[in-house]
This record gives sequence, C-alpha cells and structure tokens, in this order.
Amino acid sequence: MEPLLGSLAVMVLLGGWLVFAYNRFVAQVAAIDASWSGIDVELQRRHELIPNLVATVEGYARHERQVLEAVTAARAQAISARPEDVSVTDQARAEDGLTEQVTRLLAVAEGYPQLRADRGFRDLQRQLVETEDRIAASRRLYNLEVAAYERRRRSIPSNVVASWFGFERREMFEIRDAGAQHAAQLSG
Amino acid sequence: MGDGFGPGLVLVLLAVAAVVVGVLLWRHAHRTRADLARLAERDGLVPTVMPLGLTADDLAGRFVATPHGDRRYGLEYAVAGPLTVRLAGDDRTVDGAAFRWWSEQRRTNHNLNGGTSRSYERVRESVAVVRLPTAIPGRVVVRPESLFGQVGLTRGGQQLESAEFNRRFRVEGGDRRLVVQLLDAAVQHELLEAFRGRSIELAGDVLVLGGRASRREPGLTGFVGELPVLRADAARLLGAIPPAFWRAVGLADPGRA
Repeated sequence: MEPLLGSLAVMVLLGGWLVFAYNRFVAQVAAIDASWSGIDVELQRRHELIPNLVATVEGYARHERQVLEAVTAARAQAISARPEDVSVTDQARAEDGLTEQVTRLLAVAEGYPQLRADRGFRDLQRQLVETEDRIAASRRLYNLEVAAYERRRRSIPSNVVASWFGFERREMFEIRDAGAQHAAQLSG
Repeated sequence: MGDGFGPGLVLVLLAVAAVVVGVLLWRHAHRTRADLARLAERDGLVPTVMPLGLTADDLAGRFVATPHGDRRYGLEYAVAGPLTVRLAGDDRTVDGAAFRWWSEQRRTNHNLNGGTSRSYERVRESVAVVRLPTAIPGRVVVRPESLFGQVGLTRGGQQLESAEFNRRFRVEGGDRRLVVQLLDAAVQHELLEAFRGRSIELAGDVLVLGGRASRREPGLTGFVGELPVLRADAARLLGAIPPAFWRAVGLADPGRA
C-alpha cells in the first residue's frame, strides 16, 4: 500500500510541476507577443510619419528626387516585411534600411535653412525621434522577454516541457537605435 | 582607609573619563556646527529644516531612503541650494539638498528569564534630494537587492540585460518602457561602478538618492564632509541619465539632444 501511495505522490508532484512549467511558458509567450505588439505599433507610427516628412522636404528640395525616392522605396520594403511573411531578422534589416534612408534625408535637409526653420518639419522631426526612442525601448523590453523565455526553453528540466509542447525558438529583434542618431542630427 | 581607597579612585577615574568624553563630544559638536556654517558659506547653501520645502513629515515613509521607522524620525545637518546638473546635454541649475535622515526602529530583546523587552535603535541614512525641472509620470525605484534576491531566491522587480545589475539592484516602476529608457547600458554600468548599495528614486519632480556618499570631503568634520559629496553624487547620477529618458518625459527637445 505504502509504495503505491508513494508512487502516487510522486506522480501528483510531477503533474503539478508539469502544469506549472507549461503555464509559465504560456505566460512568457503571451508576454513576448505583447512586447512585440508594442514594437509593431511604434514601427507603424514611424511608417506613417515618413510620407509627411518626404512631402515636407520635397516642398523645399524638389531636385533631391533620388534621396526622396530611396526613402519611399525603403518605407515600402519595411512595410512589406511583415513577421507573417519574413523572419524577425529580415524585418529588422528592412527597418535598418529605412533608418539609413531617413538619416540621408535628414542630412540633406541640413543644407536647407528654410526647411530646417519650417515649424511643420521640426514637429515631424520631433515626432520621428520620439517614436524611434519608443521603438528602442520597446525593442529592449521584447528582447528581455525573449532572453528569459529562451533561457528557460534551453534549461533542464524545463526544456523537456518546451520540447513536448512545441514551444519554439524566438528571435531577438536587433535594429539600429535611430532615435539617438536622428536627435543628434537635429541638434546641429 | 585602605578599603575605601579602591572604589573612591574608581569613582574619580570614572568622573574624569566622563568629563573628558563630554569635552570631546562638545568639541566635536562645536566643530561640526562651525564646519556646516563654513560649507554653507563656501557653496552658497542654506541650512534648513525643510529641504526643497519638504518637511520631515512629508519625507517620512514616502521614499526608500527616508523610512518612517517605529517611533520617532527626523532629519539633521540639512543644507540646500542651487546645483548645476547636466541634463540631456544641457547645463541646468536645479535645487539640491543633502541631509542625514534618522528614524527609530523597534528591537525586541529576549532576556535570560524567557521574558522580552523593547528598545529602539536609531538608524541613520545619508540622503540627497534634487528638484527636477520636469515631473516623471509615476515612480521608478532602484534599490539594493536583498541577500535572498542576490542569490536568486526572491528576485523580483524588473529584470534588465546585465545579470550583475539584476543581482545588485531591484528595479520597480509602473511604466516598464520608461524604466528601460532610464536604465540603459551606460546607466546600469554607472550604478554598478559608483552607486552600489544605494537607493535611487524618481517620483514626481523629485530625485532622492539614499545611501552613504561615495567619499567624504577631508577638512570637514564628521557627516558634514558627506554633504557636498552627496550633492555631487546626485549631479553625477543625473548627468548619466540618457537623453532618450528626458525626451520621453518631455524635458529635452529632440532637436537639442
């Protein structure tokens, strides 16, 4: 009788741990998804700001067509690189490409004092930098969640639960910190 | 005669010792007061009982560095005055105060008969308070991690990238994004280098830095030697905060980062 009770107790404990470990993974995945939506909202906000920025620069520097078109193309590429279609790394590269073109655009704008004095342009720059600051912070929160999840997913014994229930690897989202770069550009 | 000589001599010696200790304490207190006045004159500070307009009642229990304790509390050696700090690349003058906070904490003593008695121990904490030019939404608290937390048993709060930072500090704040904007890699490094064991609290438009100053200024007696260093430590800490944080709370114009 006693060995039976002992075995039962062990099985209950193991079952309890299994439920606990599974639920913790579920909570972590939910936290990762919530963090990702924080990034996604801010990336969309940046995508929405770019056309206004391009239109404002175009009003003062129409002949900088090559730079303007490059920004528009990079924006289109970033918008099309959705996590449903491409990897997180590819999306990050597309966003870096957009950052690079926006940096070029702001560098061009430095040569037009009237443009730099334009209140609408300055307001757009401010919104852009603030959005990029929020992207950088959201990215760190997301990566912190992914790091904690991956640590558990690979550790013994929780790796067994991850393997049984198919908790898959999550990628870090690494992009350039555009906020600091663009804020520095505006201070000149 | 011989029987009474021993206790009499002891009493005389005790009286002499008491007088010597009394004189030393009086001289120390006198020198401390003189040095406090000298420091105030040198650095343009004002001795006060209400640093930045905050009374002891305002401070008690409101911040990690100013606990309410179990009986009495108060502040001493408080000085306040303008402090130049670098925020988001700009030099600004803000109000900065430094003082020593004390509170009495209850101790329960067990005696040999199995009974208990209560006593109160006075606990002291060095504090710097700075009035910020903008209000922080909510509250961010960075405090030393407990011993259990350091070994990973009761670690709570918001975890950051640096394992060493997480081991040394517990971070609490309602707005997680603002917390990561405040504690970037450079600030985490700075806190580990120069603010280990100290508490940092941003609440409204006030920064409260608790814990012993990084050093003591020679030439100033006792705790007075900590006062200018406490203010300098607060200025150093504010200078390390990244521009993105100040932009997020509406202090810095992105065009002037």
